[in-house]
Formats: sequence, structure tokens, C-alpha cells
Amino acid sequence: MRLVEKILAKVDHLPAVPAIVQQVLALLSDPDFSFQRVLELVRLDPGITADVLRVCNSPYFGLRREITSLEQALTYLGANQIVELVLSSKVVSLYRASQEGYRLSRGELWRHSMATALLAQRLGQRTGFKDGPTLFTAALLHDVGKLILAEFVAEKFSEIEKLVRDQDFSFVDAERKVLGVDHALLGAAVARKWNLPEPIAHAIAFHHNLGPATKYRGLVRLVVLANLLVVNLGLGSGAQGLAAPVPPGLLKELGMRTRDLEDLSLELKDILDQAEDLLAMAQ
Amino acid sequence: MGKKIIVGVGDLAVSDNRDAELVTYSLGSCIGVVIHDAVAGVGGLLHLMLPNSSLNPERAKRQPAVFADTGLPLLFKSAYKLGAKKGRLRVVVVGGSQVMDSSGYFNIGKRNYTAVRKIFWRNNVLVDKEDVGGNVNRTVTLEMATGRVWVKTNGKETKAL
Repeated sequence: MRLVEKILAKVDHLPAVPAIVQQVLALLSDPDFSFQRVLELVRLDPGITADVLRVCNSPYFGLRREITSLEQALTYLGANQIVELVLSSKVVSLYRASQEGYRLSRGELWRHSMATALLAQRLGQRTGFKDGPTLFTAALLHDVGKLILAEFVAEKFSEIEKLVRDQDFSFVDAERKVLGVDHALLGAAVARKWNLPEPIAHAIAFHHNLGPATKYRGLVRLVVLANLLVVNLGLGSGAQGLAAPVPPGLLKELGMRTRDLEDLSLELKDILDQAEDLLAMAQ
Repeated sequence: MGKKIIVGVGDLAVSDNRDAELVTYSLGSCIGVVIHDAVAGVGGLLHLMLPNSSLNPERAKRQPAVFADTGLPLLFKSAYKLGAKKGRLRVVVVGGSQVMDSSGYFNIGKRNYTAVRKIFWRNNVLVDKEDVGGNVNRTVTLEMATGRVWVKTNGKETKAL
């Protein structure tokens, strides 16, 4: 079997995404979406409620009173936020491992992913992007392909590193050149295998390479920028370092300048300072 | 190893504890400035994020270590308070790398480095060693007992500066 086939075969062996994630995401794309249905689903899983309540009370949300029920959480934080916490609480279990190939110890990839999701959320608010939960979920899962690719990156590490070091390859391009597939494309395969909505698979596929993304471009470019800002801060970037490409024209398309990047970096600092409960969920 | 003092993003620490280690993780475009006075046994580490406090003066007041122009004076003054002397300080600068951007918008690392050099030049501070630029992330550690500075690059190669 060719290496790339061997890698793709691993997608089938990844644990299934918890059913509730699909159900919640399916509800969101339903025009008659009712939060009551989400609450009914969540109640079937006591672990989620406990997680959501714990995180709701973290300094990040700055609530003045203690939240003790999902209904209260809904009142104070709104439906989208609760849905995002529910998804996080289920997805985190997949991230409770180290990815040695990327030199990421346990919890680091989650920290990187959650920081990206929280920053994407703020970017979405800033730019008036409507579908918050899709943006959050796409950003949270953008590196899901690394869960599988890590062992293959480890095997071929010296070849990948050589391309990055000597030939100015970005890490993701070097992955594709050496392994036949990169973590972004592989991640999209995972998302499709899990039956996640297509915009999410799309954003994962193109999070390093905005160029070919024509559909859902508004979503994809926010995920691209959020990830770049987190990588720029060196956060959970592991062996990849800062060897991540900035798609040409990205900032122009977003109507942003260097000053906006600096403002957003300060927002990222606030996330790091205040959202430890969320960032450390996989540790 | 003694006590590990972790310096967060946009923060700083000084110490006169010879058993301590000052560490800051994941310097990407940020810059870590390490100072150490071996005679006084005083050291400090600043993890600055951005070049200039004019971006957000209110933030600079609240979190001066975020910016080069407010963080550096605070780092040096805090070390002087513990007995460090300017003439004896060894200064090491680490970080300031970049993501791969041909358009130049993501040049925060380079601008951070320029800001630090400018401030040092104006204040007659000589930099002893530096490890800056490129597309890597760096973790930096100051060993207070020896003044040795360790840099770990992309989570692996560790070298002394």
C-alpha cells in the first residue's frame, strides 16, 4: 500500500465523533432551530452539563453571579455560546494525547485549537460574520488532521524538516510533498467522515491555503487569520514553528492592516490570560 | 533545579533567588529580553509582544510589559531595585520570528526587534548575545545560579547563549 493510502486508511480508524456533536450541528443548520432541543440532548449527558457550568463560571466570561443551571447559562451567555461549549466538551476527548511527531505534548494542540476558536469568535464579531457556532467549530477543529498525521510526520521528520530548513517550504507544504497529503486536507477527510457540515470541512481543508477556497470564503479566511495570529505568537505550534504561509491578499481581502493584527494580538493575550479553564481542558 | 518562575506572554519577572530559573515559553514574533547581574545575583526576563505603546496607552498603563517601550524600562528598573547595576548586566535578546508572509503585513517580529535595538541604542545598553528572526518558535530559560541562558527551538534543539 502506498504511504498516502495508508494514511487515508487511518481516517476510518479514528474514534467516531460523539453523536451529540453531529446532532447539535445538524440542529444549528435547521432554520427552525430551537435551543430547547439542544438542552434536551445535553441533559442526556451529565458530563456536558458539568463541563459547561464549570467553564461558564471562568473569568473569561466575566459574569458577576455564579451560574448553576443550563437555563441560567443560556440567559447570560446566549444560545450560540452554550452550543460552542457543548461541542468543546465533547470534542476535547480526542485531543487528550500528545502528538510527538509535531513535538506537541498532551494538551498543547487543544490549547492552540481553543485559542484559535476563541480568537475566531472575536474576529467574527468584529467583522459581522453571522454563523458564530460554525466559525467556532471550524476553528476548533482546523488541526484535527494532526491527530492522525503526527505518527507519519514522526517517521519522515528529517525529510520534512530539511525542506522547511533548507528550501523555505512551509511545514504544511513539506508534509504534502513528503507524505502525499497534509494535515489540512487530511483534517477535511476526517470532518467528512464524521458527517460534519461541509463549510466546516472546507475551512479545515483550506486553513493554510485560502486561494482555492471559493465557497464559504468568508468563513475560511477568518479561520486562516485566527490560526496565523495564534501561530505568530508561537502558541502550540510545536515542530512547525512559524513556518506557516500567509495567503497572498488575505489582509487586503479582510480590509485589515498591521495595526489590526496588533489589536488582535492584544485580544489574544486577553484570551490567554482569562480563558485558562477552556485552554487547559485537555490537560 | 530550584524554583521555576514562568513568565507569561506580555509579562515580566525579576528575581534575586540564585536557585530560581526564569522561563518563558513560545516566543514567536514576541521578544524575550533576559538581563543578569552575576555579582548581585539578580536576573530578569521580559516577554514583550508589540513594539510601541502608542497602539493602546490604556493597555500600556495596565500591562506595561506588553510593549517594548514600556516593558524595557520596567524590566531594568525592577532589576535595579533588587540591587542590579547597569554596567554589570549581561543582556540577551531572543525571539522576533515571523510567519511566512511575502506581503510584509505580518512583520511584528521584525518591528519588535527594531524597537528593542533602538531603545537599547538610545540608552547605551549593549546586547551580549541574541538569537532572533527566522520562522521558528523559541523557549528561553535563565538559570539564575550561573546566568546561563538556554534557548529551545521548535520544541527540540536546546543551546546555551
